[in-house]
Amino acid sequence: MKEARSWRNVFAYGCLFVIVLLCLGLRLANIDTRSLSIDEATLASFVGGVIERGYPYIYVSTMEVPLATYELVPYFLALSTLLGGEFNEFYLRLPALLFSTGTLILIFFICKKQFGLLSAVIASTLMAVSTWSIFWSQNAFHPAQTQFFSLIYVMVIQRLLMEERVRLLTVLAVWVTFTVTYLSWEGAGFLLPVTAVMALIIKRKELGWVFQWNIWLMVFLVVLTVVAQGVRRITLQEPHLMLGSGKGDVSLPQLGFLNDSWDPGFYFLNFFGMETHLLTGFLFLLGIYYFVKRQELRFFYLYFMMTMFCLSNFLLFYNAHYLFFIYSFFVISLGAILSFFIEDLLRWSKQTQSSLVLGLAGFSVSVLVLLCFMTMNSQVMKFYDFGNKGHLGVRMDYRDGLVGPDYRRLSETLRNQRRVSDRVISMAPMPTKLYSGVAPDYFLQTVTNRKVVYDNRIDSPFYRDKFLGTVVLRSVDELKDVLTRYDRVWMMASPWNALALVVDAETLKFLDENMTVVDESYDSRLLLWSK
Amino acid sequence: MKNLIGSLKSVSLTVLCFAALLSYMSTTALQIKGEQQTALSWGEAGWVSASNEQPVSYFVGHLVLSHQPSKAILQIAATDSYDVYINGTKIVHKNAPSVNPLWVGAVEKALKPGVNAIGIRVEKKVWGGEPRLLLSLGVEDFNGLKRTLVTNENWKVSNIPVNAFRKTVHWAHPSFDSSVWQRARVLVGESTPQYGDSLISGIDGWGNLDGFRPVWHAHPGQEQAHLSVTTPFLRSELYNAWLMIRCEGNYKVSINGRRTGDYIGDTDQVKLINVYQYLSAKKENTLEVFADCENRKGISLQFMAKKSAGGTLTIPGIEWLVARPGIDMSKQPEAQHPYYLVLPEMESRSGRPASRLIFDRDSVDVVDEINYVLVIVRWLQGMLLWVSLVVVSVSIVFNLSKDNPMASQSVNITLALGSMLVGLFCMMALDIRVAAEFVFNFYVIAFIVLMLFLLEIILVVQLRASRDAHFPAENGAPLRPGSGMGSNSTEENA
Repeated sequence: MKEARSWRNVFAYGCLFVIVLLCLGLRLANIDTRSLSIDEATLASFVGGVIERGYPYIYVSTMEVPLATYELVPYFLALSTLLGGEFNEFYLRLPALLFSTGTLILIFFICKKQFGLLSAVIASTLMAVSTWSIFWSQNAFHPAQTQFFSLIYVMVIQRLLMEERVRLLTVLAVWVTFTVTYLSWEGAGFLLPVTAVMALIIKRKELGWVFQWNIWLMVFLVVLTVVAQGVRRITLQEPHLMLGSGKGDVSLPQLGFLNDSWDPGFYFLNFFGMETHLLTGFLFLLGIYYFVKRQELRFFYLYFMMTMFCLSNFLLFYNAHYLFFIYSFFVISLGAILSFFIEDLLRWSKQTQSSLVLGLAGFSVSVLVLLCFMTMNSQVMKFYDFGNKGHLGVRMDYRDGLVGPDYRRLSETLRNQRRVSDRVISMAPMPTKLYSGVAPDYFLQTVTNRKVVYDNRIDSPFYRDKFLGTVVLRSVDELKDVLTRYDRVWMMASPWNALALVVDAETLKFLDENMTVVDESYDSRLLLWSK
Repeated sequence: MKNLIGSLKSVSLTVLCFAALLSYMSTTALQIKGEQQTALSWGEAGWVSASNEQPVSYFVGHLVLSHQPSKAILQIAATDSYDVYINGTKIVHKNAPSVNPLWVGAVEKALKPGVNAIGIRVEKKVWGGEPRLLLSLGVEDFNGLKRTLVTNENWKVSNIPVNAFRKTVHWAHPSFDSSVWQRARVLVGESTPQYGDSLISGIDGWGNLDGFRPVWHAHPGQEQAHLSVTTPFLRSELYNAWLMIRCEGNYKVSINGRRTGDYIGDTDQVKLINVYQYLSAKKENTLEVFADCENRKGISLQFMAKKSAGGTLTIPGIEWLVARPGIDMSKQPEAQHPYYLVLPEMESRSGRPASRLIFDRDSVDVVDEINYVLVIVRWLQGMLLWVSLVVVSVSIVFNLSKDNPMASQSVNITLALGSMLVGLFCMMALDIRVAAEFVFNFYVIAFIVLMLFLLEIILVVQLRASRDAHFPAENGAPLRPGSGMGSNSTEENA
């Protein structure tokens, strides 16, 4: 008996090993192919602060700006680049890769323990091949990290809810895991109300459980984290005058239905309508049958649906990737649903004692699981018009192989062709500076509702971009004024397709008619104006 | 009995869910406009590219015309996103990763006598490879003279849109000097796309637009017009169907007495309304238009359909019937054909056929509305069909099998296989567009039908097990599925 168990364990670890290899193989390929995005470059810019002074900060114009969101992310990036000895895309993205692999391993063990080996293999393979997961594993921004810590937090919560008398150690574990999750991204704070509801549901027959001292201690510590982060965030923002609006304005949850921008179906449509989730999402929704029938499924299923509900209704800055931190809950639930279905189907088929029926059932479930794996990866099965019925159309993280803006190549061209007397306007100041070593002089933003910084410590000009603090040109006249003062002015116009969000049509026309394209790459152009 | 109901409940939910999915897919297929299997003719056109692997390429080709074209159809495919310019004016932007990277359209308005420059900026959206272009432009002038421009080695290509650091003229303008650009490289052995996007069927029909001319009724003092036409074709006989209308004012469209929508138009705009989904698959279809247009300009309308068997069907406005509003159209004495209006601007076009229509995409407002009531009704119909199939076949199995398990299983399997084949046949018959060309759809449908088949077996097993529990054999031992009702039952039990 013991021997059989040890062989089962060997088999399980063998499966995990193969899946981890698959995961790493899919993620390591092309990990440094894309150039850093604006979000990645922004966080990478804070790494210098961590290495230099031990905390993440940058200078925007004359102002020192410590990082007041995603505070924990630059530390991992700094550690990776220090250990790797190089500051490049690979080492900046390595933490995301490791967090993603860690999430996959956690999924395997959670599923194996709670639903059996079959669900563990299915769920972790789904995660390994998922296009969405692959994209964020190759991105230095926060989602992979937040997802990893969220899963650990929820694991600890599950442990907490199983304890009749809550132990201090568990309480501290909840606090620590929540804190690291929250400091990776504040949006993960929505796990708190969901946890409260989950506790009330699970402990509905023994509500006295809630009134233990250790529970109150946990609530106090968690609230302390939220308040401390919120106070720091607001006090750090206070001295800086900002014009316009951005997602940084969203500090607290809001009642969505009181606001015009409320869109309760946003995440539902964009997640279940995503081309890689058409089949698996549908099966997940069908899994409501097992949700009713099998108690063990309810925990992660409810966590996913309730957090999606909270994000849809109480966070009025919608972004499809905000859902990524609870993606592991979806995958775990899906693995469980599929394994339950397979078990039921095979059991029922066996009752017929017909080898034909059993064979057909075996074939069907194999095809079903294979289809799930295939549809989770857009390289294998492309839905095109079938998919992406949500608001957003195709995003870069929805389909493998999409490149996004290429700041790297154009920065190299700029570095090679720029003369000392030249001036540079950059629509992506941080990537430009990171890749070319050239600090841009200007930022063009004629659509003024986007956030700009007002620096009152200097005489003029006051308006500075929020990334590096370069001077903001607010109209075509200011642009013309700059052009007349210099012999040659470069413009790093990328992302090109998003230029119309910050530059009005008249200025775009002026650029098109008066500047020449020197180099082009993916979604980016390097323009030159010369006298 | 309780167990029996319980077993039925436990399986019926799953059966319903799969039936819902299957029905959803067939309904979705009905809604997909533009996936019609229209073969495109690319003529001598070949895929071309630059000789280096840069993310962006600019292609330029020239076409010399002696007269103003009356018709020009541009077909273009490229990897991945692209902008098309004719004589420096942008006419198409296609963001390929989100849509079918193929575009077909009428571009005669953008062309002129003399040298015409066709420029395409192609941008890769995915890693690797070079931007590629495939283009075919067919032009016909008022004298019937035809010309074509196709992508070949005569095209010029560059990675930046200028020939120097000084910009003088748009790169897609006829006067732009592209002599320093490199020749395009023709890619041999690359297959050409065969299926068009949502406008293809409509555009195919636009070939015959002689009848698309303003018409109006002869009822003095009557401001509105009620036009109607009955087409003998059923929906299943058509690939797609459009109603093309130009009216300065308001108008309503009804099909088989069901309102499809209220519209507002102006003189320069042609509305192309997809009416396929409203057509009946069971009887002849009656289309009605209630128009409150500017009387002096009348209404131009034409029903256009692409037939499943090939070819197009057009019913121009002059062939419709017109009656006074409020009067039953079936009373033939009141109904009569409208007459053509001759507008001053048409008279002034001396020497040209007045019936010709010249327009570009901007002037065509394509209406692809989805009637969700219809969608839901069809969805329910589909569900009913599939649930009925399962229920009927299971009932027959029970009636036939009696106490013989072998007979039960074999009949069950035969029926299930039969229902699977019938199901597939129904899917095909429901809409011809759900054909094997949709490979993924086909796989999914086949798979789901297989699942239904298995569920049917499970249903039988569970029903039989619960029946055994309540009606045990006479010796008191419950009858087990597969063995209980078989050799152990009829004879031995007796």
